[in-house]
Amino acid sequence: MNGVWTIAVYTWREGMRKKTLIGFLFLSILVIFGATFMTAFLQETSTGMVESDVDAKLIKDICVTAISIFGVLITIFISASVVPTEVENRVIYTVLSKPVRRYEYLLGKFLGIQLIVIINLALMGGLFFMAIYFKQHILPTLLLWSILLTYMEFLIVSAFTFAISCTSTSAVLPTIAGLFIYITGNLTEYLKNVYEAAGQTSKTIDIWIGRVAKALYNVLPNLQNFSLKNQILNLQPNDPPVDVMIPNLIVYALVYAVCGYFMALWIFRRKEL
Amino acid sequence: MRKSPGIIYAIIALVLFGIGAFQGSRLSRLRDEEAFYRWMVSIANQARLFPDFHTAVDAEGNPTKDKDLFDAVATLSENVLGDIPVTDEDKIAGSDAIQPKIVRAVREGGHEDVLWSLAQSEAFLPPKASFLQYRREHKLMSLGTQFGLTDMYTAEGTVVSLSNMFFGFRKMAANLVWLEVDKHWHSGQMHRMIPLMNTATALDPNFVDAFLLGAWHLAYNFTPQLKETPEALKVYDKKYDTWVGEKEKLYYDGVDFLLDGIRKNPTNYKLYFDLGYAIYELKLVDHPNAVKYLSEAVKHRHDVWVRSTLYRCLQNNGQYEEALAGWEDYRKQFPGTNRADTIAPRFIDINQGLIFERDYKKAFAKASLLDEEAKQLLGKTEEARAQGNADEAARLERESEAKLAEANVEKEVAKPLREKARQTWESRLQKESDDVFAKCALHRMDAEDFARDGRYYEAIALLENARWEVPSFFEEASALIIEYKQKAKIPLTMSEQMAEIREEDEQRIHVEREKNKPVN
Repeated sequence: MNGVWTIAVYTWREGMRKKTLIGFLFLSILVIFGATFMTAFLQETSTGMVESDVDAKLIKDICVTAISIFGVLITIFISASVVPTEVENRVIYTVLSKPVRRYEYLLGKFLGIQLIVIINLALMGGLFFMAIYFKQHILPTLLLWSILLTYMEFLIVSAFTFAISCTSTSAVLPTIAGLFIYITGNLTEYLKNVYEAAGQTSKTIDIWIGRVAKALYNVLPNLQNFSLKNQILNLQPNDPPVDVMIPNLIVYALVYAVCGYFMALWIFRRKEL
Repeated sequence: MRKSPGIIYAIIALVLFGIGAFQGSRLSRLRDEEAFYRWMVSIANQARLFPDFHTAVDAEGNPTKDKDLFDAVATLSENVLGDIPVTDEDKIAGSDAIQPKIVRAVREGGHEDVLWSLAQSEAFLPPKASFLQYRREHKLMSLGTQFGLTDMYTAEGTVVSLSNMFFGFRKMAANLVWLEVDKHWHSGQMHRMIPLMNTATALDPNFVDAFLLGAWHLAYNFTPQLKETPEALKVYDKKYDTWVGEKEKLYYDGVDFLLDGIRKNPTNYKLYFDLGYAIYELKLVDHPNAVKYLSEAVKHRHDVWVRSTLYRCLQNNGQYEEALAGWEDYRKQFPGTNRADTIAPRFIDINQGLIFERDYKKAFAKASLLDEEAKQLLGKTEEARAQGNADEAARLERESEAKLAEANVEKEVAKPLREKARQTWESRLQKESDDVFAKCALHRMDAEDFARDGRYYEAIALLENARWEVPSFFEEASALIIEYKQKAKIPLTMSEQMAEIREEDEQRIHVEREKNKPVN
């Protein structure tokens, strides 16, 4: 396990030095800070009776969106590039020549990716936390759950992107695949509408489209399940469904993450190096 | 042997994929249950606050299935929910029935866990299946509330839900649309605001501030340039069972907008507050509805001044005892604050004075009625005596004396109450010499005293001075002046005659409307 942890830490250090990553992080910080200025477009408006919190809401939504966009870009980029870069640079031969098994190497890389994503999310989340605190003078503790669910969503994307990156010697294809996974994951919900609406014409093709849509809906990871991360910021204190959903979402993400890791392991196991 | 580990990894990956798919289907089921739970809470709230929710129609104009489904859920929950205490507000208006247990549970609060377990239980499988079917067919009005957002979008009749199109960035889209609304508002292009307001709230149903500001724009900012519609030109609004002109139509549009917000965010006090105070109290001057919605606002997490606003509306609605109790409770709960030390004692005095005034006026009115009856009986006594019916005359005389005695008792009851009212106002003025309410009340009492003694000229002179001294007393004083002039048969001024004609016209229109009111 020492070897795994060493590889993870080394991956994290290398990853944090990448210019693209720093660029994304810098942009996200800029957007989060800029959120407070964007509300300057809203002139002082209140209803006659109740003070409006539109500017606080604007900040929250911009920050959540920025974390989502830049977070997923960072996740995809880092997950797609970690292994292919090392293959391209031939560093992987040096590493694998040591008494490190392939599964340990991959596990270390995977954990290193997660460390990068977690630290980036923590940084962006911390800034968001501060922005809200200065605006509303309250500690948005529910934000922590939102960040956790965001990470779980990224964990799934990261796992499958990582698996695809093990097939490639260049980071371009896995990056595109990662974006595709993220988009598809968000569109999976649409398949439910398709299979619910299917079968109305009684034509065979209509029925089969419905069956295929249902099968895909049940099998593919559905990132819309994590839409709770946006809504949770408006949460009321006692909300039983959310108390049940959060642990289930964590299990969901972990299962797919481990699945992605084993897919990566299966692919990498067969890779000629 | 080398290939075996590879196959094992593939098998593990497939098994995990299967487990993931299984967990995904569990999550899908949980989300359906969540949507059902949100709908139950929303509809129970609506059944209590908006009893005519069953008249809602879907996009094609057909009645929605909410009422039928709600009835089924309410019937099932009667046997499953424990004892929920019944309060006065659980009585259904216009009947002796009380609200179902599920409505009372939502009203009382604290039963979220029970309702959630009901939504997941087997007993509720049939209504849940119906809910899912109606949701697919877009036959429900209120789908989920704060967090069943995907369901809300399918309710708009679109197959591809907006959330999918925006990849979860719909809140951002709603914010950008709202920036446009703000821009149009500040550039005076009001006509462009309404569709954008609807778009922003459709994209983000949790955008409470959009509902608040949108309703404010409708009720306050769209109306200042409009002229008041003459009573005779107002049209009947079936939905609100009232007669509306241009301005009132916009006020009710604001009401509708806030009601939509309440449907989607049933636990946010701001929506109830704006609806009750900003629109019903200040614009429509509908005190009962103002009290109704403000009472709802204080049931949820709210700011401290919401309660004081509720007590003021209770006072305006004539519920002085409740207002008094509220202010006294307020003073105990927040000692050392300005509201508790300065404002609450003032309103305690005001409500106490109003209670005394109301009670003595009631007693005086009863005494006047009894005097009138006694006078009539005396008249009949004389008639009976003239007809030679001594027994009847004696009986009538006794009855008349009994009425007079009763009247005197009422007067004896009224006098100390009147004294107490006067003392309350005078002590208020001693505490605060420019207290407008106490000044108005004392002027009114003095004028009434003069009028009761037949000293109408003095009463009118007092009121003439008072209405200029205390501007808020102007309308009340003017009405009293007209009344006393008519009693004293003093000619009215031109403006007073015009006011009388307007009053008579309005009463006549009101009577005609009641006669010709369309049946709902």
